[in-house]
Amino acid sequence: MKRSLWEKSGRYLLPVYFVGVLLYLLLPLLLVIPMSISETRYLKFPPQGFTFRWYQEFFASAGWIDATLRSVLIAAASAVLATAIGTAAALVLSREGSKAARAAGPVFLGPQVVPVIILALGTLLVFSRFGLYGSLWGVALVHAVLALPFVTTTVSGALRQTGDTLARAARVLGARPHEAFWHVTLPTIRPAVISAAVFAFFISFDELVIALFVMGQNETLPMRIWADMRHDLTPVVAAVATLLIVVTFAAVFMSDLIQRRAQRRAG
Amino acid sequence: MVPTMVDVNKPSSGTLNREAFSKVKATGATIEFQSVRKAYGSVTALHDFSLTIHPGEFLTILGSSGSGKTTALNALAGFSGADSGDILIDGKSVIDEPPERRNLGMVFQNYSLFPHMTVFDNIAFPLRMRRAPRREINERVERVLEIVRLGALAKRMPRDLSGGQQQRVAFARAIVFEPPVLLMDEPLGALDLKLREALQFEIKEIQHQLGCTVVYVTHDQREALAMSSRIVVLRDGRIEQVGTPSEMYDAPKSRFVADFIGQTNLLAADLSTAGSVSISELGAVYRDADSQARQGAWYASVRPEKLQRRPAEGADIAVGVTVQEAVFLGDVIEYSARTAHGALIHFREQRRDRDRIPERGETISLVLRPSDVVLVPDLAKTGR
Repeated sequence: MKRSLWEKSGRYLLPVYFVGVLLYLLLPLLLVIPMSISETRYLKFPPQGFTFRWYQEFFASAGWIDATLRSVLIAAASAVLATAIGTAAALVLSREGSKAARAAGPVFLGPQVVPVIILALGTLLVFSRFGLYGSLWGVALVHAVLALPFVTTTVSGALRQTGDTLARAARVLGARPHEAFWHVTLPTIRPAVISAAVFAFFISFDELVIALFVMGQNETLPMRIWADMRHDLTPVVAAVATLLIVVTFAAVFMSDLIQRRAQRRAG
Repeated sequence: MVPTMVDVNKPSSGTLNREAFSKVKATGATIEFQSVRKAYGSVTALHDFSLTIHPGEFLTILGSSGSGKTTALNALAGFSGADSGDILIDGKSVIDEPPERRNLGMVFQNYSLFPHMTVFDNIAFPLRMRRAPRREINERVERVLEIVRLGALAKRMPRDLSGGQQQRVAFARAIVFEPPVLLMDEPLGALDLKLREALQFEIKEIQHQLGCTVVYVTHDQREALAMSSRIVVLRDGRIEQVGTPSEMYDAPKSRFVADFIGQTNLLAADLSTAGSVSISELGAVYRDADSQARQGAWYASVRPEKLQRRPAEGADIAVGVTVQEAVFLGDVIEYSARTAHGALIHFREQRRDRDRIPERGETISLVLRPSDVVLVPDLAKTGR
């Protein structure tokens, strides 16, 4: 009797739990969206009235647009850099019998473990020493460091799946090392590389701490949001946040789609 | 007579296109392993491996996992170097050459087809890497597709093929550039038994027609017996024995080989008296003029088909046994039986129509020719 009650409730419990987790994950995001259309001059929930005014204000403001373009540029550079370096690192790490590489493996996870504020402090010291303060390329370089562990683990996973055998097959059938990589290894890990690049982009795009330390007057988008929240707290912030949510979800969804299609192909 | 329609392009057809063969020809190379040694850390995977493989030979390296067979193949393919020794192909040292400079065809256990390329592109790959002109690539790929009868599938992706079809694509890719040497690493391992047996014949046929030297690695002794012109049995990184399939079966040189290849009864033998062999578990002592007094662990290897119920010329050893189990296999009946001395032995006989199958518990008498007893040392115990 007791067991059957458990079974009955179990059937509903799991979906309820699932919806709970989903709300927990999404609620903060979903709250922002209605606030972006409120007619009030300050952030208010529940919103009052309906207006796109804050979106217009965002697109009309040179400060916001500059910050956005700056962030896109930094994130793009950082993604390219992290993807190239991280993929190369994964290739070395995946090579059988490379003891030194295996010992160095955990180092690649370092940036994910060390608190960002420590990395930011170190970055500040190095940047001021070398005159990189406020440099877009400089901060892109550091953001790439943050994204590296992600790229390396993602691509390593894909490499482990295909293993060495495809590259070996290519070699013994006549391909030189770079040809084997270009014609065989890279195409088979391409989906992982693409999704790693997408994530690397967003790791840089929403990074605040390091940017605050070293960017000074060259505001990035997260810095601009941060400043706005501290001084004005207008619904423009909510409008920006809504735009970011849409763009991010679209990108993640696309990259997921690519992965899935590749998996189906590998079958 | 009703004429039968034969669809030559039928992709599932299991037979090869023999006519297409005449246009593909490779000349087999000589391969020499000279004292090749390879260790991984403290484990020596291959000790002093020396072997000459003749042109056009179908040589099988047979061993269980960890025997060093894959190490030997990888050294030949160039995937892993050797710690010492040399490998020569047609008299030229290749030990320092990367895999792509050794001109080898290779078929892998898991096929290793490139998943993002069509069947055509997979097969064309070795030719493209060799910078063959486009026309030649098209001609050659079409030719081998004809041989393996997969012409209709040229534009398919590997994932759309069955296991057997994928394996044939892998073969086609390995022979399309007519390599003098074809390496095969357990190429049938992933297939089911029926398909495996069918493909054994196809592989042999390809090799015969092509004339290339084949180095085939497997752990399956039946496959080795069925396909090879010579077999090398490896154990713990050392060569246990080299010989033709019939030599390996009829005249194993060690207990390990006798046990590994085919089925056999292994019974402790006492050779301490010159000219006499004593197999206590059979209760048999017989004269063997050639036999010298030998110490150590020796065994008598007796193949199950050599023990017979019918008296026969020269079958001087008689053994009384109690039948334990009779297994009916159609043309053959396999028995297990216990000797008066407690040993469990197996024997096998061709089924004849009017024969009565002895029942469980029945005591019967078996005979055996002394010449059918092969005496083998246990190398692990007596040393090499």
